[in-house]
Amino acid sequence: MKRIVVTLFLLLLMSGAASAQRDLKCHSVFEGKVVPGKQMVITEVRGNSMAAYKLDYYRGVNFQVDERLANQVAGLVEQDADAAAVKETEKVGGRLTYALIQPKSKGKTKRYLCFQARALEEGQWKITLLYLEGPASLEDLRSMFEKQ
Amino acid sequence: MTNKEKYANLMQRYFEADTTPEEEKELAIYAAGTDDPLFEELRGVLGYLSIGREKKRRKDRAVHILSYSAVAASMAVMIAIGFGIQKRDKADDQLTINAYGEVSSDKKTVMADVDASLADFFSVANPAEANLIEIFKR
Repeated sequence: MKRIVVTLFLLLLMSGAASAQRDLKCHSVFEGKVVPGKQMVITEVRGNSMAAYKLDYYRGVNFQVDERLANQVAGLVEQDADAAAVKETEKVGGRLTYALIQPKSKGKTKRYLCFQARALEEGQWKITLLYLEGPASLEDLRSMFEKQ
Repeated sequence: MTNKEKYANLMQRYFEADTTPEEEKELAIYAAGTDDPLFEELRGVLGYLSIGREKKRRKDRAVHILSYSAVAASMAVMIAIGFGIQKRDKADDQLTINAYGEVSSDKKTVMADVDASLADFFSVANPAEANLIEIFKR
């Protein structure tokens, strides 16, 4: 009996922990384990504020790094892209500069991992990495911003 | 041998634990249907055993009902907690921006950053082209 209750409780905890982007390789980037948190702009929104975008959750990081770190982040994104069934990637000179990845959905909740790397001066790169969750389809998101 | 003698003999064997389950059943039926004082002790023993069996059956049933109820109750609690967490997550607005170590929960600031990042990403028709434009801007 006790075992059943404990198992159910653990399953519940696991389902909670499995939310957000913890199953992705890029999770370490969001957690500030690749680039220190103090060198990034980290934005996190959950709840009604995201309703206008048909999303429930938003987590974004953007930062400026040298080529080595840019490659490290791009490598993690590529690993997530390899694991995903739906993805769009762009490479410039063999370097990943854009990725739109749809990791496995959680029921009706769609998930998106967005990566963009822009070359700056003196070997620096501006990286943007977003993780989105919600009912919005890719068309919804694109049409929302096409107007702007 | 009379019927009484037959069952008296069987009762004797019963107390010596020398009877088969079928014989015991037959004996119990006979003892239950006679007022003969000879079988008084046997009726007492059989009555005691049947009460014990009934008590055990009830106890087992109670344990089963309790187990099923407990499992159902725990599942209901878990589901309620799950829904509670989901509802709370949806209802609560959690906004934070941590810009180079400086944390803010100002909705305007946070949503401006969200909007800019999403627009930057999703308004790009051809990302490779955008990247080239960025390079040639320099």
